[in-house]
Amino acid sequence: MRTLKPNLSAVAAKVIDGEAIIMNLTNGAYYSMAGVGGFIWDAIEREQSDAAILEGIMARYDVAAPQARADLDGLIAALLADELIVMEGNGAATEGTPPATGTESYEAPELHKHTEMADLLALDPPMPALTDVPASN
Amino acid sequence: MGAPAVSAGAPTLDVAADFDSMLAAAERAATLHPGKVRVSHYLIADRLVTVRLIGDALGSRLTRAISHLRVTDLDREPDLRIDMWDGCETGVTAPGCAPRGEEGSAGRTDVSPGGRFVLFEQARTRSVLDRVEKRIAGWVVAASQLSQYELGRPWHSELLLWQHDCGLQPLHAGFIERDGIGVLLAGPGGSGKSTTSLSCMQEGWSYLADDYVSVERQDKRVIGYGAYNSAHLDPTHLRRFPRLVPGAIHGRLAREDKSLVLASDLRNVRLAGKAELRLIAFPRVVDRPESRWYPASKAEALLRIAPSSLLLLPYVQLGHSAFKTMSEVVMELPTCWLDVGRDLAQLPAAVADMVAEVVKP
Repeated sequence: MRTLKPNLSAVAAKVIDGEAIIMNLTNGAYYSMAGVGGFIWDAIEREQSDAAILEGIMARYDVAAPQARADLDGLIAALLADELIVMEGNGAATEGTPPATGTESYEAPELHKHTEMADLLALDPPMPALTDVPASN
Repeated sequence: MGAPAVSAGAPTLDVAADFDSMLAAAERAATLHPGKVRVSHYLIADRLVTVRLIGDALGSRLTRAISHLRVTDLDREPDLRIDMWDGCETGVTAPGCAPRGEEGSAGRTDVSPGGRFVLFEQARTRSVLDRVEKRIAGWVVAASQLSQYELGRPWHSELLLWQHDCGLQPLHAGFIERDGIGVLLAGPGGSGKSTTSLSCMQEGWSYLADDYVSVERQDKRVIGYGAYNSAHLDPTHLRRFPRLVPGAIHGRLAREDKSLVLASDLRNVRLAGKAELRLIAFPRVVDRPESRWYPASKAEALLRIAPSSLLLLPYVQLGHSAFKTMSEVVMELPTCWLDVGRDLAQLPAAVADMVAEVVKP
């Protein structure tokens, strides 16, 4: 089983009204995903496996399993490529065919990447050694 | 003009020893030139900051941007102490305190193991913040060589980190207030923050900040603080505010392509350092005469305020708590788009209308 988690060493995120806002703190890029993408990110924050996420999509949305699986795999690849998530464990991704019981309309999840701030951050890069103020003793 | 470029250089220096030697040098300068010592006190984010400047020119130039926050000596220990000396005027130096590179060239930061001492180094200035003792020791090669940025936002990086350590969250935003209602003006550079804050200032609003605000929660309220009464305007922008033109300080260096305006130099304006935050507006310049407002979704709001605000504290580990705080503030307060039209005379009325419609009594 493969478990997906936010890459907390680099990423801060929040899901608001179903839309995920994701910040990469190391390079200034930020991202948004609405609809199914927001649903998937919420599942990632709960550290679900890719199989469980696919089950959740099929239970909620009106979508054929092959399309949901392909879309999920594509999104996971994009999130991994930009180091927004980490994947633990191994095994085949999204095997089997979960029952299709969902009724909400489905649109393929899309990771919108914004990079306007990256140029600024390149001039003012993070300083990894700095954390909260040390104790006074 | 943005913040000076800073690169996280290799930790080649003993930053803790740097702090000690710089503080000793400041003491030496004060002992040698007691007549050049100027001590003043400021209430920055409701915290008492005591500044000791050694050098006549330094004393008259460096604190203009925070002069509206000056207070008489309060009967309490300062929350932050700053000691800074002018190397040329006093003839005192310390290890590492020498001009480096061209004026305006990229600076450097360094941090001691454990993160207690942080060095901020620019071409003509150098300072170390002791985050435990809440103290800054700083040097400038000569007051006449202070950059426009250093005049408009003295100790900006140091104060950002100190305020973070005090539990405050820095935001990249302008800030105005009227009748006890603070309006945050957030968004990236060029979105209309300065235009809105200066236009409203000219119509009687209190001016708290142009580009940088810190916030903290007090019970159920969100309190915002501004530190600097400065604004940086490009020439085209400046011409739209004729009243500001005479006092504008133009850049010396090639990269200083904007003019610095100090609102404290203006007559009949209201300056403040603190207000309750009641509304977050996101200005954006539009190509039509009139200004309008309409609600912004919370996701839009977080996307608008978080990226550039996180750049204020370019330390990865601090970003998580900063993002969480910003998310909470965005969720709690009304959020609106503010289309900034060409006719600036209409803009304050649009802001007033937005406040009247959106902010609950």
